[in-house]
Amino acid sequence: MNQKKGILMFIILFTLLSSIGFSLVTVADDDSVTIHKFPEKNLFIAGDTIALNFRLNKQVPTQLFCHTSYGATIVDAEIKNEEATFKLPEYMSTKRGIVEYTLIYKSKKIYRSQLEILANKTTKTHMESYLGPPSIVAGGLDYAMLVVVPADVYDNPVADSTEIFIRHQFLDIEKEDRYLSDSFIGWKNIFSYEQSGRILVSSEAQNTNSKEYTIKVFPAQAEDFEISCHRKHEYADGNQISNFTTSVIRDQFNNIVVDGTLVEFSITNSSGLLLKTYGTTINGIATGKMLHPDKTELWSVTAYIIGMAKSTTINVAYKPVLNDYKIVLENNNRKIIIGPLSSFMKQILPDGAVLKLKIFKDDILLETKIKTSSQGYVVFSLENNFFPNDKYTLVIEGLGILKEFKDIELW
Amino acid sequence: MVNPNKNIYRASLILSFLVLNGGIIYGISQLFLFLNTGADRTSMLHLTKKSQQVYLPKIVWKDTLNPGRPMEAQTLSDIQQNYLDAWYVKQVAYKTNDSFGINDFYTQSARKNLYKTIDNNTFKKYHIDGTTTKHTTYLDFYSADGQLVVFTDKDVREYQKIYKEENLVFEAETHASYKIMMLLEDGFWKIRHMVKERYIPLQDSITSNKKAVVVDDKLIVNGESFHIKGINYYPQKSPWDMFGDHFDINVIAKDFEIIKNAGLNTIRIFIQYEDFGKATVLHNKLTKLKNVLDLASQEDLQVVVTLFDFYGDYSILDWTLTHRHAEQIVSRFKDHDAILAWDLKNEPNLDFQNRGKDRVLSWLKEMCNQIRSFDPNHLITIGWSDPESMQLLSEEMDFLSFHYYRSIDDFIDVYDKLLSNTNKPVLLQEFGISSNKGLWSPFGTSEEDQASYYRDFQKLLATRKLHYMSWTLYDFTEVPTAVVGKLPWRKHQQKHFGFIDKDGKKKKAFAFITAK
Repeated sequence: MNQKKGILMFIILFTLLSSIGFSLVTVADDDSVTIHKFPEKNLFIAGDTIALNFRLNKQVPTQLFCHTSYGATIVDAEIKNEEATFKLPEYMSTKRGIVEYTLIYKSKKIYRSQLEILANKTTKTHMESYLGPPSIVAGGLDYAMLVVVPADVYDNPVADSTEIFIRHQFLDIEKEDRYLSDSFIGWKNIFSYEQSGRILVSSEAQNTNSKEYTIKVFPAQAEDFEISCHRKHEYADGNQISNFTTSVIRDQFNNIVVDGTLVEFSITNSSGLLLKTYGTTINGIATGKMLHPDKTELWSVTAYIIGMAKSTTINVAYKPVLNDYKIVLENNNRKIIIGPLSSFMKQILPDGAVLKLKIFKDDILLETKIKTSSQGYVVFSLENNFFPNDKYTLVIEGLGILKEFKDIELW
Repeated sequence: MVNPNKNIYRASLILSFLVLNGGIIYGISQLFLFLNTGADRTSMLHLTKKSQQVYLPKIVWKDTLNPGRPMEAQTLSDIQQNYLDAWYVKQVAYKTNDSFGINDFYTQSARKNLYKTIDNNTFKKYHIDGTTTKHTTYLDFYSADGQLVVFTDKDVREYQKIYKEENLVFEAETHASYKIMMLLEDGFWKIRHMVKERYIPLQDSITSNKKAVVVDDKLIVNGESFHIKGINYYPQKSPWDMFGDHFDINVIAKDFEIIKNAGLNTIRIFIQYEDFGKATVLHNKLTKLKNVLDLASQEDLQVVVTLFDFYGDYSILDWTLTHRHAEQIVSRFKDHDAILAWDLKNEPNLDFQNRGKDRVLSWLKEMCNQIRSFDPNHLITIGWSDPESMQLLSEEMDFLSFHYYRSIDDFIDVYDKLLSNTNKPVLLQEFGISSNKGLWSPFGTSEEDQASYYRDFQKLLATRKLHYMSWTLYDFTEVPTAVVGKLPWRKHQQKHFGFIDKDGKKKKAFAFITAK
């Protein structure tokens, strides 16, 4: 009886074992652990719950090594109905990309495969746009590039070949272009038009629209221009101000150059010296100012936008305000009174005209005194302590007039 | 009389006043310091950023053509540097589970993904010690304003060891492809998106010139069967520092002549890791090495070059630095006809105890792969310090090497046992005996004993037709502490292994430097 039972048990066991043997799917390499069932699904959408089920020939503790886009970890099994279930943590199952997984037992690989998680199309799309440079130059040669990176709610860039629309508006032009995303992005070069102004840009993917972006289109390089001179009178009184004004400066497409464009006015006087003054444009017009000279002059004026454009050259002449002045020597010739200085209408010359007195002794310059006029007069005093009694030569210069007193005796 | 309590009150009052004021001044100065840091121009422009080479996996840009904007060499180098930095901070973060440095190389949205991984691994007490050894990048897109770049890294070789607390859970080698978007933010290129893609192996072929090959258990050099009769070589004046300040090519030339005339055909020389400049190999050292190899070639001597002498880190994050060290030396001499083999490391099994066997073996295994990729022409071996270790990594080696300083009587038994476990050529890479009889070892071996040792050993070698290299040509006057330690009798022993004594006279053993 017992023997019979033994044989029966043996037969049952044998059948069981051999049936397992034939149903093997993958032959593993460690401790004869074999896999009867492994996960078949290998394509998921970000946000899906991803649970991988394995059934082994025996109940042994296994772990799953998961290698994803951003890192790796080990997932422990939940055993249920003799199946080991590995549930990927949410931060892994929500990220697009390949997940490589390796079933390990006693630190050894027993099964290795991979699955793919795709970006989620059904959730709200986030549009990330990069527009640069933010300002460009009119004329159709310069451009700004819009790069659009649509992503799903889990911040996964959308799959390749997702439709992206890029729109832009300028004056009365409104355009829409259709692109297919590639390498996470859709992009377009937006070229400037001939006019300056603002181009508004937006994009759309998977029914989500982006914000509005702006490209500033600045006028192109200035063209050559003209200048004119405006002054209160044509006398070289050293007191009034001459204004040099440009014409409206424009680029080759007739756009007025951008406000604040720096214009340099370069003045060459009769003796070849260079004077400079600057102005910035408002509505294309720049003004430079310069004090009148104090003697007769012929100025030749050219304006430059340095490196870009220049103006026509104009000549501006200044007449002298007086042809002569009186000089009186008093107080033992030690007090030199110059004046009255009268201007073109015989009015007293406004204060501030510069006069120079040079004192020579035996052709050696002892001192130069400089004074400005007050109430139409300039008074120089030669003190006894500095100029002992002797003969000196005095030279008086100013307002374009030079007067010399040779061998004047001071006492 | 003043109440002593009053004095104590006074003292404590004054003291607390001083401390309070000190505290306030310190606080204000700290505030000033805080407000001033990061705002000065040098730090805004990263001018003072000292870059130290910490992570140097091989990276090759295969293609930089793209529809956006032509790539500038300078920008490409910045992107490459920051991209590798991003990998480095990630490796460090996953090793320590600390997010330090991630902010600098991942944008705000991307770094969340790393933080979540760190949080999970911290919670579950995992940490990952990893590195990448190779990157092969293709530029997809570079934006017109130079602020955005997309590229594909089609062949990332990643090696990882995953630990639960201190126990190794799994060791993984991954080949992967990633598509990466980086943005220029605050002067750094930072990763914005990173998506692992389907990996398609790249075709990478290198062909060997068959200078040295192994057929069954035979070494074939330049088409002919080759029997190594060799010696470990250091110049007499500069042991363990052959390429240092005392380097003299004339001395080496004379020594090579002695070696050649003695009937030997191979030498083994050593390259010290730090001495050669670590990750950035020094040009003058390479020139010296070239001179030595050229000389060996003239004398028709084959050279076994032992790399990484005195190296002992082996940590996974240090891998790439050692790879670059090896690359610069090995690829420079891959076509040199004097080289027989690269010996990856001298006696690495001695580091098992301090550094961990796993750590040393995985370093050696990867180093073997690396050197094969740089040089398909020469052979690879490892100079194990004892016969028992010789089986380690034997699959990866071209021929096996071991050192033998034990009793000569046991040698044949040990050797026959070794041979039964392998069918690759075996080299007895070091053997010898010190003629150190003297003050430090009154019962040591004399020069006569040394001579008879070699005579007997040569007979044994002849019976097994064994490849051999004896230790060493010269007696030395100085032995660095790093070699055998500080103990004077051990140093003394190490000084007298030579066939030629310190005065240049041939010792009696010289007659048996090779079998006659």
